[in-house]
Amino acid sequence: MNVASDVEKPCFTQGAVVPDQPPFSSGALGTRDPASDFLQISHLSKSFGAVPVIDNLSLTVQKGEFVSLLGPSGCGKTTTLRIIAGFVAPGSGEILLDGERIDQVPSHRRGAVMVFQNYALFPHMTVAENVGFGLRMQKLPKAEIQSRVDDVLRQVQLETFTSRYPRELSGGQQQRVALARAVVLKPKLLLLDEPLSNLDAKLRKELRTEFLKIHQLAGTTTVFVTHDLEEAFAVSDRVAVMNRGRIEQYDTPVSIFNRPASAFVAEFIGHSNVIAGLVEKGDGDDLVLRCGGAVLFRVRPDLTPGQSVRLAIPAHLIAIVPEPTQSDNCVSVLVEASSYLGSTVHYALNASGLRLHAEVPVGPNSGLLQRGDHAYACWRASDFIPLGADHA
Amino acid sequence: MSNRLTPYLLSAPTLLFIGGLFLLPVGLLVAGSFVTPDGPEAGRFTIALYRDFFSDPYNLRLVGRTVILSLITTALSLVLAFPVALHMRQMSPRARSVVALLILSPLLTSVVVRTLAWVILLGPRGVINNALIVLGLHPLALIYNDFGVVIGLTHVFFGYMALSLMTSLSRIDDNLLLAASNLGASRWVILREIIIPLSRPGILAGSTLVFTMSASTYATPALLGGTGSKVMATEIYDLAINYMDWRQAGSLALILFVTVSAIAFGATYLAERGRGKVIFG
Amino acid sequence: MNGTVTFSRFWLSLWTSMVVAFVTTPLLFVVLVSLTPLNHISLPADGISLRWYARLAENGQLLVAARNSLLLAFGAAATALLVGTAAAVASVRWRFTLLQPLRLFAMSPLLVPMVMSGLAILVFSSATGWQNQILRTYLAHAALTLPYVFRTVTASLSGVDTNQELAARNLGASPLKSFFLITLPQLGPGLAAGGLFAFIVSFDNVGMSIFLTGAQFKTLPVELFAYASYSSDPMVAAASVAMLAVSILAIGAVERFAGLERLMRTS
Repeated sequence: MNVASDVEKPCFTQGAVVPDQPPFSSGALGTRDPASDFLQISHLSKSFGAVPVIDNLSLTVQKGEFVSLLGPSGCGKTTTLRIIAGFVAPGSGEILLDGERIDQVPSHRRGAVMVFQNYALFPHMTVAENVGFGLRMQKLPKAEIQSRVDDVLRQVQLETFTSRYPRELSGGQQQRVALARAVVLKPKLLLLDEPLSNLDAKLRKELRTEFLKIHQLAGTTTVFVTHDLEEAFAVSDRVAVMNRGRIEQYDTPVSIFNRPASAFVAEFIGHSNVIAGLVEKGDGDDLVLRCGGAVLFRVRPDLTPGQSVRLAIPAHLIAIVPEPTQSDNCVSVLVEASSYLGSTVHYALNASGLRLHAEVPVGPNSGLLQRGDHAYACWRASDFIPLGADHA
Repeated sequence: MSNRLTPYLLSAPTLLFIGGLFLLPVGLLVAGSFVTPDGPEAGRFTIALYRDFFSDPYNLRLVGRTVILSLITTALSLVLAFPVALHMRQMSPRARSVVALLILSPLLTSVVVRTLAWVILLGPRGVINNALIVLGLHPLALIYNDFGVVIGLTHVFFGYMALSLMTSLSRIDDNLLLAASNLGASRWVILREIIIPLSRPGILAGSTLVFTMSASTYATPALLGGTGSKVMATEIYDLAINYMDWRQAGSLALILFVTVSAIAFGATYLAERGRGKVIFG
Repeated sequence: MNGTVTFSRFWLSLWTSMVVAFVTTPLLFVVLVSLTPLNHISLPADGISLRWYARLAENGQLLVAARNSLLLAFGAAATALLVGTAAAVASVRWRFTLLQPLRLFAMSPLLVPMVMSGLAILVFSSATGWQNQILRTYLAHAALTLPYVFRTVTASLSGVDTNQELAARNLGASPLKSFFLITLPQLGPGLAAGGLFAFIVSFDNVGMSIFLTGAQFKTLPVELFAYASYSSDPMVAAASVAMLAVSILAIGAVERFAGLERLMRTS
């Protein structure tokens, strides 16, 4: 059965009951040894007035790990970071750094140093004075301060800028000074609060490589907050995807991409086609998805019959063809919109009420479909990604 | 940009009005002090008036007192206003509005009213001394001397310093303070290293304003200083109205203006020049 | 620790309270003294009396001076508004050769000490034989208050989008019409604030007026000053309270139109 021509009603139902699945953990760093848990956040909650911003959040970071907090604005990631830094008091919960509780310790004695989104460079001090400020607070001898400042500025390629003032620097340069100011202290924990969001796309790519380099050299445990998916995935050992004050999934980038734990995560990383239904046995050994009365799709063999599931099909795994092929699943679609993106085309499709998005590479021979055209969307059963339950 | 002539037409009233009825008289007054009024040398340029002025120790003391009283007033205003401005950064918006209203409103009342308040309080039969007498204590000489003048001047011009500092301190980004704290600075270090340097523009602007205004004002030293504390402004009035010596009054006015401007500019220049020196060098 | 670095609330509150007390209580005492039933400066310990206000109402000289001050203030403010607004428009909307001199001239009355400018105008008016006290005081006040109007209107005008006037002209309105129909209404707050400032500064002025007024024309602050110079009875307090009342009304109006703090920051 290759063609599903009549769909009785859309199969994109919310609120399907799915038993909780634990976040997928693929042992990214090899075996995780609890003894090397360096930063431990336990049951952190925070409300501003009546509005809960962080909801029972727990997270552990290994020593030397580079971890990102990723999520849309308002998800609580920056607040979490500020609580770790000591700028905001937690409502409840504990934070341990290197075995010691720090949530009651004032900010200037925590050892968790922050790089601010707007850099927060002291405008009345030179680059050298800015970078040396923390060392001065530690009352180190002047000669040592000078040499450490010079070293770190060399690392960020700003060694000729020591007597300049922040206002004389470009955005990217200011960013590197802010980073140097934090890193020179060799802190236990480095906190980066959306440090790249004020920069243009090209600079962002350059600077995040910079961050990675510094991290690899110094091995500082780092927590990085961003709303940019690509950025988080490019630099992190593990990513915590956050939504409404909770962590939806905490895993390596690869795992998150291939096995998103919930519809939110799938949606966030761009897998925008989610189909819900009931798994049934089909002809022979095949499993199929029943949805809204009709049997629609062939699905992966590793699912359990009788279960209600939500499956995502990534947009780039859907092929658009003029005639149905031998693929497991092919649906007739009407093109509602097409956007030419340069190397790919994005189609918004309507399969008799079911809305699909497909992203198709553009080649010299493939024509662009327009609104109103008919075609077939095909994909393999094994490309379906099962989702865990949402928190909401 | 309709008509090339329009801006000139719009500016003309101001230029003519201020030029003719304000700047011209001032210019003539100044010029008049440099011209011999009568005698065989009438009409010739001379600095006789100024030479005579500076050779009289009474005059030098006068200038000295004017400047010193104004400096004390400025310093006092600064000390009083700075913590208040700092506090206002931390206040809720409502509290801030209330305090601002209370502190700034007096600036919109008459100098006479504010000065008379101190006459009423500090006078020999004023509220304070009456209370002292009733308590069997010795009355104090709080008025008709430098003390009374400084109190009055500080009270009258304090609001300008407060306003300047309020504006300046509120502009300091919270993140700077947080960053400094995060890097290990205690609150006192933050105050010394971050807040005060960054509020320098406000401190300078406020100080310049308070200094020039308190050195040039008439009513307050006249009412509170009496004969025990004369300043240049009262001397100018005296010379002009009681002695009808406009030339000399004019020369004093110029000396006042130049002295005060020089001090204000000089202080600002020195303060600006101190920037950029390496803190740990 | 909640989002910012703070300093000891206790000590700062203490200091602020003391400073606020320093600034406001003398004026409170003035009000109290004005209500005393006794003949000399004292606090109304044995009950309140309005006799000094009655005395004030009977004091013809002060009443005349009060009327003079009010009329003068209105006149000076009106003049300053007209001339100052024209100058403000010229300085914001055009770049022309006289721009810098214009700005300098417009602000100059604030730069020159009042004893100097008051004396200068006195000398000038005498030398030119043109000694009308009313006129010279009026002109001096108009000049003195012009910078305030210039400042507030300039600030207000800078915030108005020039594209709106262009749009109006594009739709058929003449330049003059588009200014009056589109821009001027939006200047309301700036004009109101400037006018109020001008009124207050003129009404309260002593430093210049003391040179320019005289037997034919007296203003209230100068009269009060003169009265206080040789007698110190509670009527001085009553008159002060009356002046305060006018100021408070004006301050209230300024606060309602533009917000006191924000307005004074345009300095």
